[in-house]
Amino acid sequence: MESELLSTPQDFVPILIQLIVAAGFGVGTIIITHLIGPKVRTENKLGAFESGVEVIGNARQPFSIKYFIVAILFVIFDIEVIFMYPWAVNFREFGLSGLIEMFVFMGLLLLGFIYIIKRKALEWD
Amino acid sequence: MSAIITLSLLAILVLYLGLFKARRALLPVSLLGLVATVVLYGVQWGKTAEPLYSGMVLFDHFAVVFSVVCVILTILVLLLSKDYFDKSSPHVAEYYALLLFSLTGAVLVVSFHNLAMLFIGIEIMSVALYILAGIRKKDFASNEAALKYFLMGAYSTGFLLFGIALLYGASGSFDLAAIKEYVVSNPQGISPLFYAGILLLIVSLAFKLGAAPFHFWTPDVYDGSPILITIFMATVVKTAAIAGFLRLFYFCFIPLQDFWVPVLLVMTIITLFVGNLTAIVQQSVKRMLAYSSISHAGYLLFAIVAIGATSANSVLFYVTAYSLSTIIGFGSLILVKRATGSEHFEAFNGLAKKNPYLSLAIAIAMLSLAGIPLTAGFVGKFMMFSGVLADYQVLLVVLAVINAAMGIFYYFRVIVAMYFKPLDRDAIVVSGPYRVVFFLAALITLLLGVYPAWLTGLI
Amino acid sequence: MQALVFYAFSAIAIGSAVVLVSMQNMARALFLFFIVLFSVAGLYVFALADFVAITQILIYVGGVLVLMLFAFMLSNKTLLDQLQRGTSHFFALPVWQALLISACFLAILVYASLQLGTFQPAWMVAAEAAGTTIGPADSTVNHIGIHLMTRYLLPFEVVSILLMMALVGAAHLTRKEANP
Repeated sequence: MESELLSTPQDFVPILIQLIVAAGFGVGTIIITHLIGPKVRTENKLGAFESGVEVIGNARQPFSIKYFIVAILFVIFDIEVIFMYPWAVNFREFGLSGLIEMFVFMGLLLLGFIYIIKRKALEWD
Repeated sequence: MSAIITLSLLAILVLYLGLFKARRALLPVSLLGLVATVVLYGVQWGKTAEPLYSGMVLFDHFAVVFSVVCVILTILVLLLSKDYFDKSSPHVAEYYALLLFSLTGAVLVVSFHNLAMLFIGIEIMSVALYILAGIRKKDFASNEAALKYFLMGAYSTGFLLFGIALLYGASGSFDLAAIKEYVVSNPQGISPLFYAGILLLIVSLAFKLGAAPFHFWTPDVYDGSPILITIFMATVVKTAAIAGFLRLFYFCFIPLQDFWVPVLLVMTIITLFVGNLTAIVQQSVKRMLAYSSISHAGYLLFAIVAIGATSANSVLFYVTAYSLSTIIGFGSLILVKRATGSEHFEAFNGLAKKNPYLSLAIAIAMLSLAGIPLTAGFVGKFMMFSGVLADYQVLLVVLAVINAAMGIFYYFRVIVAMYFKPLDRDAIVVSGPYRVVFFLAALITLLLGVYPAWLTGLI
Repeated sequence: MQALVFYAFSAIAIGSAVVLVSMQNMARALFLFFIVLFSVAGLYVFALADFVAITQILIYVGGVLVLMLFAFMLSNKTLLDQLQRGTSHFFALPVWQALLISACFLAILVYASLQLGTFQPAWMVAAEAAGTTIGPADSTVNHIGIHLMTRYLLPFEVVSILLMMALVGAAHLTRKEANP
């Protein structure tokens, strides 16, 4: 076990570096502007900015449930794609039977998708 | 296997029938499909069962019998659904399709031979029910039921997965035969991971069964869901949960009995007392039945405490008796609620004068639930108690008898309300399908009470 | 170096998770959850489960978290305030029970992992002796794919039923009903 732990996949080091750079850039710029920028606080500056118009009501308006259902459907298709990935990697070895097996999987999901379209769950009136 | 494929295709077919506005065909098609499933299972009966699909499922007698029980219970529930769903929403097809999907999950749970299938079966069964519990979107109680069921259910699924992962870590396989092999071949060196896995599995399965101390969700969910969905949860889901529980423990964990029997013993006693004591103080019949279903989960656990060759038979008998009576109990509640708008005991006052046959069916159901002789419930309780007595757990039987007495008290409140509390009321209209279901359920309850041998020799 | 990164990831994960559960502000908690998920994905890489790590980022960070943010924005503010004050009896499970359950869980796991040294699973020993372990250079996705399409074919197909049912249920629950 120890030997496995020590030999971490080297492929992920660039990703790690990029993560650090991205996070570092964000945090760094915020800190630097905070330190070197002039601090002028007026009432207008601290208020919410609405393109120069007077602020009306609460910013936390409930918004349409349509966004939500699109997000849910996205997650479900996301999971489906994850299942396709290991299949696609070995696509050649599986041959025809693998193709059929995948088509059964996709077909069932397609039935669900047709149902959704027919029920007009994705329509944006 | 063909039965499972039939079931899932049937659900999709029903969904699409609803899409193409064939509403009249929904119920007949579902019933036909379910009957065809029963026939397919019947054809399989008696053949030597081999694990199929690299050991994923095994259709032995145990699996076939419990699957058929689940399918038949669903047929009865669907018969009650005639003109029940139409009132709540124009989209009826989804209800039928989701019920059938849930049944598919239940059938997978009783016939698994690989822990991966157990997990997926439980997920299919419960996800459909999360949706069904909240199907009345405008009703606050229904929303609450769905949310509670979903949150607690997702939590317990986490326990199930963790338990399965630990079993895998110890034994190196998801396959029941391989896990059994591991347990049998290492009597001394069982890894502690394995014990932790068993504990976590007990937690999650007890949750699905609704046994204390993991029963918190049961009353609110049973109370808030539409009554028909409650019937499905209290019968089919409970049957599948106890059958899956028994299958896993009977297949794999018998050599480790000394470890988990004390845990289950304590849980059983808590379950009995919690269910019965709270059922006594209820004013609503729906809530009373919900709490009493907790106590029945306790009686069902007897079979696993005294695990052995006869456990499957006693569970089969008990669960059949309990489910049939529960269908009558909740089904009559639908009618009474429709007529009076109330679910309280008072709503049953004077029912015997105007609806003698309906009252008779309810009385039989209540007697069976209470465990009075000449009903199936008595034989079921008797089998459970004698199984435990054979295991020398005398204390458990004494406590259980005390609990049975408490049960008699609250079940008789319904009978007393019907027969001895006079009240002028209009007769309740009992439609054709309801009559069929009540008649069949009451008849089978009595027949099994007199000739228990019909069911006991099956597995 | 590797050990350092590993402990850094674990510390970030555990630290943000602890802050997360004790936090009152829901929006901030969601963003902390983002960090927890990311660092757990990092830990998966260390466990040689890079496929799981990618799945975690794609589905949880890319999908579920966005969904949670949407849900947060959908809910109305006064209701949230009520929930945050803890006056509502909707989530009535008292805190001590939750603590008890988590403590039991932790105790079991700690005990099991302490005992693991003396009880190393036989199949692991056998696999190491036979040299069939997965090394850091091997592609786990290949192995997963082969198992998924041969041995675990049935669960794979049944999962599609589960996903389809989730689609139908989501569409049905979020649809507007014309009549009350």
